[in-house]
Amino acid sequence: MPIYVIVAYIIFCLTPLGLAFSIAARRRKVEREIAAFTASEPDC
Amino acid sequence: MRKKSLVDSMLIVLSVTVFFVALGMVFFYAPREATMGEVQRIFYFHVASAWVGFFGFFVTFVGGIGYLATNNRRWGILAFSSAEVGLVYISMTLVTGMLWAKPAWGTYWTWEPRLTISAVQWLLYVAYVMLRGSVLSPEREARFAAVYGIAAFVTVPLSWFAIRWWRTIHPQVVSSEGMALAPKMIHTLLVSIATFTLVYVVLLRQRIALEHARDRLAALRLRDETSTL
Repeated sequence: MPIYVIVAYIIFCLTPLGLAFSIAARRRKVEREIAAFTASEPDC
Repeated sequence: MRKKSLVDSMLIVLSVTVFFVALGMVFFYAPREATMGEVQRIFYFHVASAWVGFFGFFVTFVGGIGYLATNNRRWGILAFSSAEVGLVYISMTLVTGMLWAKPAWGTYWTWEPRLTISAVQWLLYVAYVMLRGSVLSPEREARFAAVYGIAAFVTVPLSWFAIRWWRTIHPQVVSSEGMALAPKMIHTLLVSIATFTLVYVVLLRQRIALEHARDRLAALRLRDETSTL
């Protein structure tokens, strides 16, 4: 199998996976901040 | 909420499964192309990736119109999220296209109409994603993004018709006479397109959820700031 095909399919597999991890990481960070805000709020 | 995460989990499992099925079809089901040989196998995911990129920009276009018509932030979120996912797919299309071009044309890049329009399109959407966070007012930002997303969409039909209107060396697989491919190649291409579309849906849902979480955080910060004044 030519190297070009192997490299192309590595890109096809890893790029969507990379985007999924990037979105998940950003979401986790935002949710941690939301949790921190909610925890610091005084009980009414 | 629980129902939503169950749907997301099911979609993730389904998309991973069909991804492996599509990969299997590319390497074990689709026949070896006579002229280009093994390197032609790049074509299946390359076309699928371009399709999803174009579809993503179409959703941005629709989201932009929806936002301008209704002023509902949900449309803006849809438009921006889709542009980001679409941009990743178009980037993948450009890079893997270059990997195919080297053995097929003897060069990674040539300034022919389709490739030139693709490069301009890529730059336009990179600018869209980069600029969206730079305008101060969220209202102005969303309005600007909607107009920009609608205007930038012109590159999609231009890219599609470039290989039909102008002299180009880019292959034309779909023409008025149908697809110039063997049946097994068409099956593989269609499964690849369905797979990448499904992966796009999964990524788009995750990206939209991120934007909603950011909105919740912004609302909490605003409430915190106003309560300390």
